[in-house]
Amino acid sequence: MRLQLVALLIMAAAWLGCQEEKPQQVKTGQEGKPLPSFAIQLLDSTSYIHSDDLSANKNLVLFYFKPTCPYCRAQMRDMLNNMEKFKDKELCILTNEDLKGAKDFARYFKLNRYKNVIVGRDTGSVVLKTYRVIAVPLTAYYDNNKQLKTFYAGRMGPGSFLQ
Amino acid sequence: MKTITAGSMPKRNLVSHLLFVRWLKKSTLIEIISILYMSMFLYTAFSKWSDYTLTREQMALMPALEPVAHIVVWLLPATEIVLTLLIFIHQTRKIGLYASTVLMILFTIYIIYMMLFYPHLPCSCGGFISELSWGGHLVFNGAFILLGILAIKMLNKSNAITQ
Repeated sequence: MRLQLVALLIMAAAWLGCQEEKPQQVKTGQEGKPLPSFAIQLLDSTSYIHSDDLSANKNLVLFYFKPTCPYCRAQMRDMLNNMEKFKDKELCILTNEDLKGAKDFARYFKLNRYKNVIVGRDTGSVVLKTYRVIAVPLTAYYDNNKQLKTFYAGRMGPGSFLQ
Repeated sequence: MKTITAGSMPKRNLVSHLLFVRWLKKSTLIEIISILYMSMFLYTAFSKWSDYTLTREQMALMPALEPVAHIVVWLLPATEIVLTLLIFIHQTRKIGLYASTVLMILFTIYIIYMMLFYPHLPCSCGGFISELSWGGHLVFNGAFILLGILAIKMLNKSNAITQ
């Protein structure tokens, strides 16, 4: 009886613990429209690039994070573990938080090792305002004309990353 | 056939009967507390392992844990499983309850430290327990510490009676 109870407890714990959260694909109404125009402050604090200047003729993935958000960090870790899915894409990793947090995040994940990754600050929170979202992480996929294809709110797991 | 009623029961037999009933109630209570501890440890251990990446990143956000998060993410659930086994096996239940209560006290000290210095950071307890506020954690842990102490005391007393 006791063994059965414990077996039941183990199964219940495993079942409860193994439920995966699915990312939510959001219709923003901006699908097919171009990436908003904004300045990205780079981690040296003095350089800026413009969103219009992001690599042309390449699909773009925009990942928006908060340095102290564990879900953002977990998604970043999963993205780095699946970099083959992003190798032909430009990966733009943005936050609207302070520069120190962004720098610590980039250092922790050693993001300077990747040539197709740009890390910076969206100082005016333009992305959040454009898509009317307040929660992170968010992930937006753009085609090679920089037009929005799909938009995900919440953490994306490795199985959800698009090729 | 000779029947024995409470009134006709020899005094010594009645005392031992009452002691047995009391002991039985205590043993039931010890059993319930043990099941509570085992369920909690199993649930949190499986929750942590089921989303290894998220737990690792939650731990990495904790002060001083960043460089060892990839080890602690395995070590802590493993400890919880070992404690569950210790509580489950009758011969090692006492040591299991002692160790579990000490672990809960250590967690509580850490929670107080976090409340004082890093109240904005999330915890990495796993499952629904992660949804509790730091204050909620304190109440939850306090309850488990009290239950642990109660079970140990009752276990010591019942051992003394049986001896």
